[in-house]
Amino acid sequence: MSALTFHNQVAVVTGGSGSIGHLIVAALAERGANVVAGYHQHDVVVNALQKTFSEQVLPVQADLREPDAGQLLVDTALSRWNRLDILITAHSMIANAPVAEMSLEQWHAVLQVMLRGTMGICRAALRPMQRARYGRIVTLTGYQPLAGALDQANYAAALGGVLGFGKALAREVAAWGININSVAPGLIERAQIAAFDPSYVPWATNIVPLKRLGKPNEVVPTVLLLASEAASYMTGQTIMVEGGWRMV
Amino acid sequence: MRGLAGQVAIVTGASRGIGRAIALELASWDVKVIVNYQHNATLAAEVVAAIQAAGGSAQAVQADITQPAQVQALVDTALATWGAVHILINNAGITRDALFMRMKDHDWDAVIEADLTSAFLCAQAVLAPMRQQRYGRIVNVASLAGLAGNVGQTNYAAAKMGLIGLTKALAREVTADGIVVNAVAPGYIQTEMIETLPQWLRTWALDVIPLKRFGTVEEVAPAVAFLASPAAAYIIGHVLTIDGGWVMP
Repeated sequence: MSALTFHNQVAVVTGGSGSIGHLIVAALAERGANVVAGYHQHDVVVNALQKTFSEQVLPVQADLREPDAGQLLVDTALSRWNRLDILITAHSMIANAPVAEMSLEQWHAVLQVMLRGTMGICRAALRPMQRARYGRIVTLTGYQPLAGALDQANYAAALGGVLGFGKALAREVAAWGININSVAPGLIERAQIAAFDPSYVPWATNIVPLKRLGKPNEVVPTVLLLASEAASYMTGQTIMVEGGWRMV
Repeated sequence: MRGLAGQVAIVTGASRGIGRAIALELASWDVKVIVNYQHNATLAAEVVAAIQAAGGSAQAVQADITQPAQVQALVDTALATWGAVHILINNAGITRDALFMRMKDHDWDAVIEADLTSAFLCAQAVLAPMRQQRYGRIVNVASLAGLAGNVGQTNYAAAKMGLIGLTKALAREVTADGIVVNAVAPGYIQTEMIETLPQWLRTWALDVIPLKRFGTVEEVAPAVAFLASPAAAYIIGHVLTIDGGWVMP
């Protein structure tokens, strides 16, 4: 397989300032893509990306809880570069609690950002992709809906929702050359870990055959593959990047 | 199913379709059944009457299970009537099908709330009594549409795969308390819901299903009863497909 390149392609990445998202933005730009880096917090991160890649990276602040946020990111890409080839949803938001103590607000807050936010930006991205009869959508999900997780029933439900949504949508839009896949990272060193129980890291390290957490940059190659033209016969798939944890 | 006799179950959305069949199946093993329904009191009463006519115990309870207060009232009714809840079957669900680009936001939200948030609320409400007795069985009725997607059902597939995510997350939290959480994922089952699918999709489905026919609700209910029984003690966070061989995940 030739090296994955994205020359002249245009991508929108949500969560562009996140632990994994900012690496995806950089990897796409390094390989020639122009990228709208959607972000909500941590403008320092996306500003640094813009400094490195100048014209190729355009940070746009958007709160995916707002109904028009997805449209804003897509419209920005179209007005700047007049096309959209790739959408990568890498935003993340947690509100952890055991089910017995989880408030309905915590439940809905995570569903709103992770599931409805993803749905909204996919809807916005589909029109230009359908016109061009080409598109790659990659959702960054996680092990939670596949393996369960403590105190994250809302996150597991929301990400499971993204997986189910993506498969149903993949069946609907395959005829337009639009492929939709998901990368589900396993136990990864990322900012969210700070919110977890202190026993999490030793536990996670111990149960994985590789005996360590994954690094954010180990998730990126799979995302790039699915975002590329090379993924032409893959759609509706979920690929776990999980160090051999479950092997299913 | 051994060990079910005398237990108490809540079956949501039990006035018709798969829920009705689950209620009748559980009752046939001498489980006392709360027949939850939202709209059709007449149909729910018929399910209760059928159970009672066969010598079983059942009670119909109206509740909109997207509303926390009504969920609590549903569980309280079971506790007040029979003193325990051993089994929760999260079966209630709706569809609002449309191709994604034509789907209305309110149809997306309605399905997520009715099919996913309702299950969260019901599970949350039964945890305290189940933990107290250190025994419980929760079976979530998901769908093949969640595991494999389905044209026109982006909202339903999201809700049902979300329900599978909830199943596994909840399972990890509560197994230590003797509460077993699993899901079933029926494929194309002969119900009113399937009547709403376009003819071309039904033709396509019959073509891809190795058994070359739709399933019946009576072919789903026994699997649910098994996962709801004491025999399922070492089956945790599982998704049992009942789909005539469609997906074989």
